Amino acid sequence: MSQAWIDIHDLRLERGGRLVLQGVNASLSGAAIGLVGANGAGKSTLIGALLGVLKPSSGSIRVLDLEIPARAMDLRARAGVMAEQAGVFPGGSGVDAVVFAGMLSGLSRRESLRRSHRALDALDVGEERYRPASGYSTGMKQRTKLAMSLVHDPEILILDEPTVGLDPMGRTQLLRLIRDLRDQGRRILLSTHVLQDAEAVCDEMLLLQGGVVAFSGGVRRLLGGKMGACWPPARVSTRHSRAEWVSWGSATSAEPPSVSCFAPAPTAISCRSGNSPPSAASRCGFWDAIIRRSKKQ
Amino acid sequence: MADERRAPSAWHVIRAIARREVGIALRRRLVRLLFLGSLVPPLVFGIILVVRLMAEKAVGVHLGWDPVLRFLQVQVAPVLLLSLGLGTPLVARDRAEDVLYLYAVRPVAPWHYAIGKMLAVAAPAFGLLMVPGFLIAVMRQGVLPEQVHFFDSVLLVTKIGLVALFLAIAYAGASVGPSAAVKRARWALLLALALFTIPDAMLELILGRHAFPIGPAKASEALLSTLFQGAGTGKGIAGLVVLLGYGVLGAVVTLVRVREEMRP
Repeated sequence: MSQAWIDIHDLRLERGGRLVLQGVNASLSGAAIGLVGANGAGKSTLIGALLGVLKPSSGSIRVLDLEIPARAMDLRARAGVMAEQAGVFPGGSGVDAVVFAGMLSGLSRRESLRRSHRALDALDVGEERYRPASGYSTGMKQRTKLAMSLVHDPEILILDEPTVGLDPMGRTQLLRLIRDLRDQGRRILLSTHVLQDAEAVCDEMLLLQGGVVAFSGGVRRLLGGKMGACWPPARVSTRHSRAEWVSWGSATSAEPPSVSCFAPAPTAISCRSGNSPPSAASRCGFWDAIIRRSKKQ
Repeated sequence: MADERRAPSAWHVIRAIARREVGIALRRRLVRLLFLGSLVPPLVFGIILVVRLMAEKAVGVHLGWDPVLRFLQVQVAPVLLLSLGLGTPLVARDRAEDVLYLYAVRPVAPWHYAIGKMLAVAAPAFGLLMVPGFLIAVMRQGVLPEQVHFFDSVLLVTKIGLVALFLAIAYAGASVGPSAAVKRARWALLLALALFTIPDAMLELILGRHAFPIGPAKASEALLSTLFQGAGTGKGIAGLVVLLGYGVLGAVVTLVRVREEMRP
């Protein structure tokens, strides 16, 4: 295994009086890492902490061998981030927004303009790039956002829910693009609550549940036979597991993952439920979804 | 891929932010019109000087009228309009569109953002006073070479520069600060207008017309009177402090707000 490029040790982070990350430990070295978990699991908070935007209460973070938050600015110059909630820089066209993103990352205007057109060409954004970005469709916005994160040729790409709001075709195209970027040698951290997206792109996963690491390791290990030993985490409440994990499985898969990803579900699954203890398999929405899908194959 | 790439300098980031905002503003007709309009006073001033010269030659009497102060007092109005038009949507728009995080994930510190936005207003405001002011000084020197010493022209340009600098800082603070305080550009505009009118009006109501300036409009008037008419130094210094205060206040309000919202 290659050297870890994300090293997190006992990370605790409090927001609004609530401990959002509760002792996260991870050493990740994959070319593409999937940061997966349900909504509210702490994925965006962890990304914020990795970039030094959010200050941890305790613990340490190293990304690309840079101590965070001390050298957060240097990391941000070397990273391309596609943020989930934020759109495109307002007030201008798509190409304006990409040029500006490049300039903020340290490029001169001329260089940024050159690279912006190259990035937008690569992402199949045609003449629309000259239209005001405020009128873009979701798919076009996502492409422009990706171009904004790529324009300065970053070493790592951090993508926070990149497929949200896209139709199946747009999703397939975007995932293919991300895979291409990975194959070109760029390191990718893909945060998503859609498991299929992570499967399609990533070789390593960090699974967050309620601010703690539920799983960290290879994708095959997560979806394969060894899963039963580590899943579900002790802290998963039944209510959450049904509502959130089932929604993962119900998302339409643009590109069905390979069959080998779906090893038979382990026979003994301990879904720990504090309130009502029905049969484990029926309670484990996550596993239900995987079994359902593997039957479809 | 570049290894060991370092974060860009603060000046690079601040300039990039200001440059983009000025670029966007220049696409607006009002802003372009204001810039073109700012060339009118020096033209009018030039005509006045030539007419004066001709009249003095015809009548043989030295009129001794040099309307630089009048020009600056008039020019403050387009500067105010430009600051309000340019500054009040700046931060409010970013907050409304929820894009502050886009800055946070790049090598942009909150203070880079605040200063960059302020510079986007201050630089054109400075230019709007300084460029015609400089043209007037050159014209004055050219039209009245026997009456105006070169040193006087240098002094005039320095004074105009000083006024332009402090006015630009204050007007940027008084328009960008409200923009950071509220989420809608319209409310920011109202708040900025209130800043320009209410404090002085209130103080005048309490202390009469000779009260010290506490609003940016009166402060700029006091500074102009001190520098160009030799009026009370105390009021001039008070005006200077007030103008600087509005600039600092605007920057602090923006910084505090942006620091709160530059996160996921």
